[in-house]
Amino acid sequence: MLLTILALIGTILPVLLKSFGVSSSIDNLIPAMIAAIGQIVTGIASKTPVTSGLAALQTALTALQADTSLSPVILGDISEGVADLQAAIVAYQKAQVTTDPSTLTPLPLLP
Amino acid sequence: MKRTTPKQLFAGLVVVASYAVFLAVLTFLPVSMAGCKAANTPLPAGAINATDASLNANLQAAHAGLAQYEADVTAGKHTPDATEKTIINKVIVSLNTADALYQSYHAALVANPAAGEPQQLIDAVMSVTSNLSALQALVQAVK
Repeated sequence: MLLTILALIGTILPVLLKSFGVSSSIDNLIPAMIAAIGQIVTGIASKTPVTSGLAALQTALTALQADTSLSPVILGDISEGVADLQAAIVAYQKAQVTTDPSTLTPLPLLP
Repeated sequence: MKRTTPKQLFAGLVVVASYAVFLAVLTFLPVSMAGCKAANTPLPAGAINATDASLNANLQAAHAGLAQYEADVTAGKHTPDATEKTIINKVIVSLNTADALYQSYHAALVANPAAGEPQQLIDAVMSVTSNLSALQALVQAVK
């Protein structure tokens, strides 16, 4: 299932970035991001750590942050998107080891 | 009338896209629930069967992604607009419902490993999926 998630983010995020002409450097970053996502997919499928893939994504993010054409707001959102992804992957991997539904406490609504 | 530039819209949608991706997993839950076969890989500790393990893993991933998103909003790192907030809250409500029903299902499995998946749980997951479609539509709208 998470493989589907990562496959989707591998298509949606770069397309969104490029469709808005965020940066010409995205042309170089897209292959790097896709490769990183591929590493994560492979890692999850083989039940091996996906640390290197996440690190590669972070590297791509760092490269984006060096792009002066991007606003701090956009960079912040990119960073948050990656953080969300990391949180989901960590939780998914943890669930491969232990099934503990008690941790699914209700989430509060946004005010 | 307030105008939203592509970049402003994009700023929120990057997070929405990531978030939608986390929840996309739930699209396939009804299928896995209906026809889940025993896997060759060992079950996680505490899981009663493969369906139980799969439901837990997918809900945990969606839950964690959403929790992180909310933490960013609470910390002021991201400010969703009204449309995004409305959709996110709908997903939160449906996910909370699915979580609670899954917890009941897991408890039922502990008591009786042969217990079947309740229709309520399947419906709840479908509700999450439906709300996810709204997120996907939001993303698609700016492509």
